[in-house]
Amino acid sequence: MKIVGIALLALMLPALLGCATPDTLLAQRLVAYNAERYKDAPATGTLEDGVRTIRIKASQFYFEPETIVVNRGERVRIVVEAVDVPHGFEIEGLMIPGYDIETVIRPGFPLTLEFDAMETGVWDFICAIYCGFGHSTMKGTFVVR
Amino acid sequence: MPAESRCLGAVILLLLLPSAAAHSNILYDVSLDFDPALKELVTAVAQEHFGLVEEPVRFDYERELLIVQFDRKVELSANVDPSDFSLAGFRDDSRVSERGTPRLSQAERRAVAERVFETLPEPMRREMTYGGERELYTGTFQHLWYRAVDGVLVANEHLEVEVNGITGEVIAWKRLPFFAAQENIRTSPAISGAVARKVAELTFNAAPVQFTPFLLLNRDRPVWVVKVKALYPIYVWVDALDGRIVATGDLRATVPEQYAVGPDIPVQETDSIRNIREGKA
Repeated sequence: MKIVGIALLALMLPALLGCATPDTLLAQRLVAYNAERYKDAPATGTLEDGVRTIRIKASQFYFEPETIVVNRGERVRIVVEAVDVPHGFEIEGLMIPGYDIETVIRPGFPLTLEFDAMETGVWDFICAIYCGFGHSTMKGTFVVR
Repeated sequence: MPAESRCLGAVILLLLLPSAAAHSNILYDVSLDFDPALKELVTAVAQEHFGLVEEPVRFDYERELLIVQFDRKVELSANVDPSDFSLAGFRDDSRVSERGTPRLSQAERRAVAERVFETLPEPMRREMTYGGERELYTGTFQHLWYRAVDGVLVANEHLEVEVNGITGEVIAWKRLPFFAAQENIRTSPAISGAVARKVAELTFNAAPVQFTPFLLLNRDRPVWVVKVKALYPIYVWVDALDGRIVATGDLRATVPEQYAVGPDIPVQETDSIRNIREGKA
């Protein structure tokens, strides 16, 4: 039992010593840096009736704006307009209740999504509908900070 | 703030981070109706290859290739690169043998695959390295050539050729496009594999597993591939220039079994990483 206790203590020692190894320290700082890199960036879009509203134009092969920053806890409305050919919209890894990621956004028929940004983090958003050669480069960054 | 509190704060912050989602590289049944000329040309390339006049039943998409599917009991498809309407491969599963013992030696199977490799444009071939053979199913063997820059494998920019070791036929091949020019690709990491692994462990509150991180190129940037155990073991791609989590889940790349590039490549710290390490960023 004593041996197990000593072994456990040995495993926990770096943590008890304040995460002392250089690799761990750099890793901690990198994680914190990447989590906070958008801390001072201005929020994207405008507040309309208390809802952060962001209008995105989707064209072959980019989104404009490419980076969206919202604040945690905000109600977010994203309006995606296809400018040239049909496009799609998916925030990878972020479930938006009631939204089918296979929805085709045709020019002239914008898509409106509304949800609460409850979780801080950084996600990629992508075009989820094949839109021509260059489709795979069509992505942006969605940040909740 | 005491060091312990800072550490605890960082750990809490990490726990709040969402996990990056794995996303399939294949889109099934894509519509090409937005570009009739594209649809017509892609179809024509596929029809010509197989000597068919019938219309395809659907188009799939994988990493900028369009996969033209014809109506068969087993897959018959052609991969077309829409950037230049060249044939970038095919699959004819009617060539798979249901039974039998491979009669071709490994060298003979490789020679069959080499004939496909030789059809690639010379500049492409120059950047590719043979990655070996692996057995798939009933006498089918896959040969791999991967793109490498300074010895570092470029993820998902490869040629794979499936050879029937019983009949000697090519069952399928696929050549994925190259995205970045060699001179625009940075290969040296700015952080070590050990740091990348620690980033993954901290981010996912995960335990280490016995695995040596290796380096890949994700288009024009180096990434460390590490493996950690959260609920279950997962691969994590950590950007080797800024420590961001790029992807998680399965390996997301075709990598030869013996591939182990990375640990010996010197880390070239960037100013940004130096500032972060020194707590200035």
